[in-house]
Amino acid sequence: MKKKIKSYLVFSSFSYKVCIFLLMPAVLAGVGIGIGSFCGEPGLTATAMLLTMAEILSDHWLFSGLMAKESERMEVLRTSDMGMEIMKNALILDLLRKLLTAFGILAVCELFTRQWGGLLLMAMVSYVFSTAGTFLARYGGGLAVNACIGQISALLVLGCLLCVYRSGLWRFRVGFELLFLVLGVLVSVLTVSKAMRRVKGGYYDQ
Amino acid sequence: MKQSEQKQESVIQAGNLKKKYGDFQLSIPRLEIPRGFATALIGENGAGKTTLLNILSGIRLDFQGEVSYFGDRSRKLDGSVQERIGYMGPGSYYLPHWTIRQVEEISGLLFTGFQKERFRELCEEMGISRSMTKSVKKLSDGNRMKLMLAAVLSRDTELLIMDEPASPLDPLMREQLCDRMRDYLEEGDGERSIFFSTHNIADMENVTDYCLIMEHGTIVEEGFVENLKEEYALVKGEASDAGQAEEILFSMSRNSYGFEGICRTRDLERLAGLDIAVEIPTLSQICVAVMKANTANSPRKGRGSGL
Repeated sequence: MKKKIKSYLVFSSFSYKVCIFLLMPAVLAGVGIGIGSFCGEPGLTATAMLLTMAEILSDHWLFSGLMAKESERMEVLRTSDMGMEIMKNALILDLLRKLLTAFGILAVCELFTRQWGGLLLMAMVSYVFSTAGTFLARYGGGLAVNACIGQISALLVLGCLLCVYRSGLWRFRVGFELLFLVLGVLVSVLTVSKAMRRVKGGYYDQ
Repeated sequence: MKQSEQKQESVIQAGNLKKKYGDFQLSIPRLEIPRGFATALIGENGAGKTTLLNILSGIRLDFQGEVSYFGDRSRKLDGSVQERIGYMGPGSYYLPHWTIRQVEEISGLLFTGFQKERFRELCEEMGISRSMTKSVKKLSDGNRMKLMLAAVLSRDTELLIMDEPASPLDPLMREQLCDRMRDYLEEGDGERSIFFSTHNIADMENVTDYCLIMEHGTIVEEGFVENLKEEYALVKGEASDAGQAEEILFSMSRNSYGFEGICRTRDLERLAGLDIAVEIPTLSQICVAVMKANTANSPRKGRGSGL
């Protein structure tokens, strides 16, 4: 496991680590607690939106343009038989980090605002859209692409959560939770497998 | 004892290598890189040098043919072989946003023989250690090449495959590169080899032991430099004899005072009777002549057609 974590950390710079592991959780938890203390659940929804946007935006400094046609080929990975394993570990650990961050930040917000009950759904909705958005943004490669997809994904998170919380569908919450769990698994598998196919394609001019 | 007379072992052996890429086709029936020497791969742009180096270093797998390593025909490219090969090239080797420190960390993960201390020492010696937090994309082409050189020399390898290592370097650093290549071979005591491509034939001649000349995806000439210099001759003569000499020489250059060109030593007798001076050519002159002789418009062709 230590090597897997190292594989992920090696892809990120020091400033990225500071932002993702310290600043982003602190700021988002602060925002969630702040807004949530005054208006309850909308504070958590806002946190889920901002988290989704931040995740997609920050991926620009991690795997930007990984899926693009003219992507960087990272030849160094192909000069060692460890290369593909390191890449796969990094992609999986990044998803795991996203999931834990979503649960962690929203759990802290719920704890402080005493808004119980929506953690699983909110975290999974945020995770699904941030992962799907990240996957799509990697086909682009520019900061603007990440920012644009980040904003769209945040609006989709808002739409989904409003749909569940405000349109009387709350009673189907468990169904939504299951749906987003399944979507979470699917989008994770798709993200890792497509990225690995792209990286391995470098061996074959694909 | 001459290098060419020593018992030769191959660090890389390849047979029937084929790779099609659009209109280009790499086709090398037989390739042997001698062990313990620096072998230069020389050819025009688009001759297939990078494709060949990428195949041999494991960066490309879409080719036909057999490649074996370190004198053992059954030893194909696997993790243990890659551990013994150091590759550096001009392409997108590292991710542009990686810092030098990240390059150090990923090299440590990828290669068990990577020594961090050695890497830092080399970065220090090459003048890139002050920017450990600088990203690869912010380094000049020369510094990027130095970074790759530091990374491969920080490992315990037996073969260096270098794609155009000298191109982005300034003359001073180019000389240092040659020194480091020589040191690498000497420290290996006959066990280490280098296979590199270059356009700077003149600059790299003093580090080249063996030479492969490539044109249109195939090897058209090869041999130890000292042998090639015996096989080819530089002929200089009066302008009035140029017409007669042109039939024998290939890659002739002439002006109002005289001509200069390269021919096979065995063809010198055909120039008997002309007022000529014969000199030993440089590797650069031989390579240019062979390449010219193998371009599409030339009536003379290389090894394959009995140049």
